[in-house]
Amino acid sequence: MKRNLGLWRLMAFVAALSIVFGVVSCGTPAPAPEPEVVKETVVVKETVIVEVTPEPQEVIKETVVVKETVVVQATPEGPKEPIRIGTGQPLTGPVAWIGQYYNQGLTMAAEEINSEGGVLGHLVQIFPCDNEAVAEKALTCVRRLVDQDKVQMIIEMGSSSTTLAAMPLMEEYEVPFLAAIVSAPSITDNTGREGGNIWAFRSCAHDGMTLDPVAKYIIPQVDTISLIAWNSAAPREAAEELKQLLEAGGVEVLSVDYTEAGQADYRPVITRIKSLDPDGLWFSIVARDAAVFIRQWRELGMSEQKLFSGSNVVGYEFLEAIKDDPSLGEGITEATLYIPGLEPDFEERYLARWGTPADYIASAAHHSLRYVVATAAEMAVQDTGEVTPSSLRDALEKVSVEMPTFGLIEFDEYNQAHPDMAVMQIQNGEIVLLETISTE
Amino acid sequence: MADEARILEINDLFSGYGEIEVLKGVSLEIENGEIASIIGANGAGKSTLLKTVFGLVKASHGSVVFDGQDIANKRPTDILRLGLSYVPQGRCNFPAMSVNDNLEMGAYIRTDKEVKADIESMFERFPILEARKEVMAGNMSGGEQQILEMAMALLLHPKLIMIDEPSLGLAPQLVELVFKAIQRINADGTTTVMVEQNAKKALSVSDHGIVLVLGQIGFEGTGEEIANNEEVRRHYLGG
Amino acid sequence: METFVEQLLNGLTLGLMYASVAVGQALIFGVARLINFAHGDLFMVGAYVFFVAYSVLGLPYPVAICVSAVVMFGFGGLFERVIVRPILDRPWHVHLVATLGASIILISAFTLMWGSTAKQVPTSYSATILQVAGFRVSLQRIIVVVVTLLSFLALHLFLQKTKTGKAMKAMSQNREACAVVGVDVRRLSTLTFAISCGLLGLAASLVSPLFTISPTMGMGLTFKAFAAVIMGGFGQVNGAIYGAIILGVTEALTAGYISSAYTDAMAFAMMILVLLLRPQGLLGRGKVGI
Ligand SMILES: Nc1ncnc2c1ncn2[C@@H]1O[C@H](COP(=O)(O)OP(=O)(O)O)[C@@H](O)[C@H]1O
Ligand SMILES: [Mg+2]
Repeated sequence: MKRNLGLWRLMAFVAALSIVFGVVSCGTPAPAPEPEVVKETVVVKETVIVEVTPEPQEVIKETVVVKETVVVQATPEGPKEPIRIGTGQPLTGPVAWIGQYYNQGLTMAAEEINSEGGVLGHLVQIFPCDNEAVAEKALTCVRRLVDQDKVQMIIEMGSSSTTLAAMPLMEEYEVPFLAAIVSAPSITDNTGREGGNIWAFRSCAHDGMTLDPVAKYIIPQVDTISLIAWNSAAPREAAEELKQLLEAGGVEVLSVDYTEAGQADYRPVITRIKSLDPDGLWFSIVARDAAVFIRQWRELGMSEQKLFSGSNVVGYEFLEAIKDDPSLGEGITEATLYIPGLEPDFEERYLARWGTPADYIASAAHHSLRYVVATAAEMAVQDTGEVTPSSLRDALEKVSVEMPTFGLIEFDEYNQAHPDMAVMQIQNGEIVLLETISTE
Repeated sequence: MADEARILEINDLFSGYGEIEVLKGVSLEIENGEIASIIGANGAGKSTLLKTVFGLVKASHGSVVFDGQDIANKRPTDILRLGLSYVPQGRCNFPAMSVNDNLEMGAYIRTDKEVKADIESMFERFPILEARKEVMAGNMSGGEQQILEMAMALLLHPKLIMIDEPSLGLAPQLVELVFKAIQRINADGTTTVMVEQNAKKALSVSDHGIVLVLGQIGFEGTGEEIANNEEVRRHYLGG
Repeated sequence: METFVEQLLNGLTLGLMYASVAVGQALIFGVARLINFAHGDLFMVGAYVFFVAYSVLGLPYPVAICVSAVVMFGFGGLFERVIVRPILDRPWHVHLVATLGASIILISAFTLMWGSTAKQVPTSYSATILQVAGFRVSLQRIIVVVVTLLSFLALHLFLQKTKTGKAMKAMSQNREACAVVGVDVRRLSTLTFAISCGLLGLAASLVSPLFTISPTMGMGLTFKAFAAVIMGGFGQVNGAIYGAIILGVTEALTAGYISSAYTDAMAFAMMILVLLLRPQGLLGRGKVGI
C-alpha cells in the first residue's frame, strides 16, 4: 500500500506537470521558424575606409573580421565631404539575423552608390552600431553615432521598441531618422508635423496600413469567408482586424480559427469549414505549415474556394515545400509588401555579393538608402551645397521618388510614406504579380 | 569437494544495506535432505540472510558454498541454474497473469522442451492449482498464491528451496495446507530452508532449528531441541 | 451527422498517431518504472532517419520504413544503455532530469545537424486521394491507420504469446518476482527501449509524409502521449491506446465544433475528467502492469 501511495503521488505530480506544460504551450506562441540561411554573425566593430580601391576588399584588422568596406573613389576635383550614415541594429543576440540582413542591404546600397561616383561626388559611409534590440543600448548607439561618428543621418533601429526609445533622443540631437522595416503603428503617431517629431520618417508601411488594402482586395471577390491564423500574436491580431474590415465591407466571416505551429492536423478544422462552404479562405500560416495545410485542404476535396494567404505563403519557401505537386498551390493569392522573387535583378546581385538570398529586410534596407536617402541627399546638395542633418531632413520632407516594387515614396504630414503592396498569385507553380495596390 | 552431506555452508557472512550492517558473521550448515527453520524476532535479519544467499543483497564478507561452489555475490540467475530456488516473503507472483502463465514464468530460465510436462506434473502435485489454471493469480486466496509460488520455484527442480515466511497473513486452515505442502516438497527430495514467524509450528516439522538474534546465530539444534529450549521458548515461542 | 462521423475518423487517425508514441511510453514505464520524457524526441529522431532514408538516399518507401524501424530499434537500445541504465535504480526525479536532459540534447543535436526549418517528405501515396464510404481520404492516411493497427496487434501478440513478451508483462507486475525467477531485468529493459523505439521509427515513417519534420516536433507529442498513458492507467499498453484515441477524438471534435485554439486545453481537460471519474485510469487496477 505504501508503495502505491508513492506511485500515485508521482503520477499526480507528473499529471500536474503535463497540465502546466499544456497550458503554457497553449498560451505562448511557438517560436517563429528562422529563415533558412547560413547565419554568420558579423560583428562589425569598426568601419575601415579603403582609399581608391576599384573593387571591394576585405580588410582584416587585428582579430576582428571587418565586413564593412566602403569604397572611396578619387574624383577629378578631389574627394568631397562624405555622407556619414549611422544605423542601429541587433548584431548580436537572438535576432542578430535581422541586423545582418539589414547591414548587408545597406552596405550593398552604399557600394552601388559609391561605385557610380557617390551622391554628386559625395561618397556614402555606413556606421553600424549594435543595439542588441535593447532599448537602453539603442540610446547609447544614438549618442555614439552622433557624438563620435558624426553621422548626418540614422537609418533604422532594428525593432519597434528600440525605435520608439531612440526617437526622442534623435529629435533632441536634431539628427534625421528613417525607419525602413519596423511595423508598429504607434511610431507614426509620434512622427511628422502632426505627430510632433519632425526629425523621424518611415518609408515602410505599418501593420495598420496593410490589412485595409487586403480587405479591399478580398471584399469584391467573395460573399462569405473563413479565416485561419497561426496562433501567435501578430497573425492573431491580423485575423481579428481583418475580420472587422471584411464584415464592414459586407463579407460574412463564417469562422475564425487559430492553429498551433508544427505537427498540426488541420483535418478537423477543414472538415468544419467544408460544411460551412464559404466562398473564400484567408489563411496566415508560416510557409512550411501552410504546405501541410494545403495538402489536407486538397485531400478533403476543397477546390471551389478562392484562397488568400498571409505570412508570405506566396513565396519560394512554400513553392519549395510543394514542389512534388505544384498544383497544390494553384490560385493562392497574397497581398503583401514584398515577396522575394519580385526583383530578380536585385536578388541576383545580393546573392552574388553575400552568398545568401535576399529577404524583405535586405530589400527594404537597400532601397531606403539607394532610393530615398540618396535622392534626399542629392536634393540637399542641390539646395544648400552640402549635406547636413538639417538639409537632409528638409529634403526628406519633400522627397518624391519611385522605388522598385514599392512604388512612389512621399512622406505625409506624419512623415509616413505609403508604399504599394503587391498582389501575387501562384500560377502553374510560379509566382505571378497580378497588380500593385496602394496603401493610401 | 565439500562434505556430500552438506548442501549449504555459510561461513562468517556479513551483509547489509549500504551503511546498515544486518548480518554480523553468520555461520551455518544445512544438511542434504533436511527441513531447516530459521526463527527470530522481527528485524533480526532472517530475510536478509536468505536474500544474501540468493545474491539479491551483496555480501561484504564471508562465503556461501552451495553444492560445492562458492555462490557469494553471484547473480540470482546463476544461483537458480545451480539448483537453489527462493520464495521471498510476501506475495511474489504475477497477479495479472494466469496461474498457468505464472508457472511458465517460474520456468523462465529453462529452455528445454519438458516445461509443459513439468507444469502438468505440478498440477498433479498440487491439485488446488489445477482447478485454478486459467485464473489470474491475484484473484486467488493467499494460501493458494503461496502454493503457486512454491510450485513456480519447484519447476526448476532445485536441490534446495528457501521459503521466507510461507504462513505470513494466512488463515489457520490455510497455514495447515501450506505446511503440508512444504513437508511434501521435502519428502519428494528437496532440501528445505524456511523462515517462520509461526515458530512452534515450523519447528514441529523441522529437522533443524536456527535462532537468529541481531544478525548472529543465537541458538542452533534439532527442531525438538530448539522447541524445548527454555530461553528460546520465553523469547520466541510466546512462553 | 456525416460531418460528425468524419470528425470521429479524423480524431481516430490523430489518436493512433499519439498512441504509437504512448504505447512505447507505457511499455517502458511498465518494464523499467521510468517515465521517458524524451520519447517524443525519439519519434523525431525516427522521422529524421526516415527522411534520410527516403529523401536523401532515395530508398523505396517500404524499404525506408524498415530502415527507420531497424535503425530506431538499435538507437533505442543504445539510448537505454547510455542514458537510462546508469540511472535505472535511482529515484524518479533522477529519471525526470536525465530524460528531460536527453530530450534537450536530442533537439539541439538535430537542430545543429538539420537546422530548425521544418522539412517535408511527401510520398506519392499522400497525393493519392481515395473515396472511402463517401469520405475523401489520402491513401497515406489509410496506410497509417492500417499499419499502425497491425503494429499494435503484433505488439499485443508479442506480449501475450512470447516468453520475452510475457516476461515484460511480468516485469510490470512484480519486479522482485522477476528477479526471483531469473529474469535478466537489465537485458529486458534494453530490449523494451529497443522495441518501443522500433515502433516509433515505424510510426514516424508512416506519419511524417502527412506532416512536417522538425527538431522540436517531439515535445508536444511527449506530453500528449504521456497524458494518454495517464488516462489509460499507468503502464497499461492497451489503456494507453484507448487514452490516445480519446485524446485524438477530443481534439478533432474541439477543432471541428468549438475552435482549434482550444484543442490542447480540451485534451488536457479530458485527461483530468477521466482521472476524476477513474483515478486509476481507464484500464488501471490501481497497480502498475502492462
Ligand atoms: N531494503 C532495506 N534497506 C535498508 N534496510 C533494510 C532493508 N530491508 C531490511 N532492512 C533492515 O534490516 C534489518 C533486518 O531486516 P530483515 O532481514 O527483513 O528482518 P527479518 O526478516 O528478520 O524480520 C531490519 O532492521 C530492517 O529494517
Ligand atoms: Mg522477514
